Amino acid sequence: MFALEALKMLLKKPFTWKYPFEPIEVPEGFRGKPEYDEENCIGCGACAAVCPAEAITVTEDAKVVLTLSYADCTFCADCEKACQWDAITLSKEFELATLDKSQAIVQIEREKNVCEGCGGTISAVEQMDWIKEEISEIKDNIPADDLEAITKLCPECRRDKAAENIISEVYS
Amino acid sequence: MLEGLKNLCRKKSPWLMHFNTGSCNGCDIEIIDALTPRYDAERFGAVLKGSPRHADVMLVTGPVTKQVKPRLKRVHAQMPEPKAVIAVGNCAATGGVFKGCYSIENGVDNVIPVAAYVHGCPPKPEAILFGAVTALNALFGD
Amino acid sequence: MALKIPIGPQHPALKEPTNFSVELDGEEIVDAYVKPNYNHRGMERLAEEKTYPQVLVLYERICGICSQIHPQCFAQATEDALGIEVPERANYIRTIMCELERVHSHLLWAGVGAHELGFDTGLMYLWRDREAVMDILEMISGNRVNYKMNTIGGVRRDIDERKIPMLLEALDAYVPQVDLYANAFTKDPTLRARLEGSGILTRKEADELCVAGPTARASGRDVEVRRDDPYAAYEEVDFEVPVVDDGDIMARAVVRLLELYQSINILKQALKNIPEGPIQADIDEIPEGEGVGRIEAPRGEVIHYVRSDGSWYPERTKVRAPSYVNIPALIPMLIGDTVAEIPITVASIDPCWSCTARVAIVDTNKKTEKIMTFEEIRSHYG
Repeated sequence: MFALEALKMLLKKPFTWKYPFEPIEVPEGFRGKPEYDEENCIGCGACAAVCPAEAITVTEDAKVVLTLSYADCTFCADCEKACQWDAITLSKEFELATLDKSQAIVQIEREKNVCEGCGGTISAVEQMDWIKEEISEIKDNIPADDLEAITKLCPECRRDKAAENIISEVYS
Repeated sequence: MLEGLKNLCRKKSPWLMHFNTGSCNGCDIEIIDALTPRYDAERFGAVLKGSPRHADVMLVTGPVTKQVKPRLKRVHAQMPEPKAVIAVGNCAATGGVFKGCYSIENGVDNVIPVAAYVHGCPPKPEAILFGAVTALNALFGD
Repeated sequence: MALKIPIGPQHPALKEPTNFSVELDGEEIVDAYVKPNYNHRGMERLAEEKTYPQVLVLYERICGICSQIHPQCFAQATEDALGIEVPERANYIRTIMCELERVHSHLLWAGVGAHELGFDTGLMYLWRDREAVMDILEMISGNRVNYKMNTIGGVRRDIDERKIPMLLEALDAYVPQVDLYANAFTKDPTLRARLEGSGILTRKEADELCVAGPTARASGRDVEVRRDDPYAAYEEVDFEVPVVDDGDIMARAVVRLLELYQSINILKQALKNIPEGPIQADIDEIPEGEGVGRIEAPRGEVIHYVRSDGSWYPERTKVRAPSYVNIPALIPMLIGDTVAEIPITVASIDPCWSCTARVAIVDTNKKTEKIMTFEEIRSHYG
């Protein structure tokens, strides 16, 4: 039944692509290996929060480090959608074989602000700049004490300090 | 000298076996796709075999469910030496999106040794060809 | 003395792990047992720990062939539970994706079926033509499989207006190819000898087992969710539902090939009539509630159930995949046939084992196994 089809195909060019001897083109909007943008990323970790496969981890040792393991990634592009700074995009790269899966990572490092109370992490420097910008409009409504605390203390220390203030007010 | 010739032969005609350990079918159809006209892996001497006793390279897909784990070990033991395992897809590499399911082993390398990983969810057929070439070059020399 | 042979879990004729054992009298099958569950991963449990958008990504991977159907069905169930109205354009895009998936799935099935018959030329030609629809899917969604098109309340990506003439052209080019395969499957004497009269599922058995999808429609059981309970934009397109009464493997092949024509027809209508507008609904709050989604997948009816407790995480989800009802139908199909018919009979229902794995208690230490009944589960966990 396919004899006629086979004869027709004899007269045509080969259907097989020459890959890997010739590169192939992937369509616009292809979801390949995720890449961070060094300029735009503020290290907020929104991408890590939405990731369905828990492929993005945030560590805060010397610096704030976002590590995306594309050995876990599902290439769903939810991170791309969640990032309002366009700092993570899915590139067109699809040849992603490795011999060691721990090498399959994409990383970005951000300087961090250190808490004056405990030496822990407040946030990445860029994220703090953004927070300052965001609250600049409502600055006048916030007590000066709190405003300082936001930029100098981590959330835990801020909570402790607030609790101390309340206690001292009540018992003084 | 003889070893070099042997390795060349192994590299030029890898016989493949495909084993599904609970994957979603995505990687499996892409593996079959790599053997059909557009990608035609048979250009490189690769043939998909049904029996592990005929195969050099096992392509494993899926996060390895608890039920299939003893079978995977047995099938791997049945393959003749030298043998290589390529984990195709991200759930075969680490468990991928299934990480945290109670019935999986989080990746093939927790059960049998893996030579190479092909990342993607699922990888394109081209990426599978590229991964197979990477693995064979690493195993049998460039 | 009947001979009992096991098939699987790793077997050349099976693309996914499963286990059959058939009892033989000579070459005739007198009894058959099917043991799925090798693919059981425990996704419904994991879904309770993920947010709604994350569950969409997880449920996309229930099955890589129905990777539009399952997340769409989950999204429909969630929209039902949360009371979200989906924009018209999103409904059309969902319809287009569903039908493209049906075309690719049926071509894939026909190729696998040809391979199981030892007809590898057919496999190669069918999968060659399948590449065109895979390219369309990749162009629209950005990936060949696991499209991630759906979101709660709509779709994530729009179809570019400029691409529509190209898509229509590609669909027109499909019709002569489908003609070729329809001719090959229905006229070729060798294929007819293999397919006609084997793997018979009678109307009565089909009704008793409540089979779904093309398996049911090939046995004269006229069920079709797209017509009976229209979802997405199916109310606004015209199509016919092919039903054949024979109940053999040939009937199942004919139903699927006729559905290919209908899918191309639906796709053309949907692409021509696609309305302008937004593709996502706004979601303000997550109320409590429960919802059900029903979809006609290429294999039959998919049902998703979602219960919301008002949080970001679904309280309970439940999936019923079509192969779950179709696999028991293999037993009456296989009994009375010969050993050589097993691969094609199994392939003829287009089973999807990864969709299906359900509650089974497997004690690997004692090598015993027990499938729990509903009453047992209730007394155990109630």
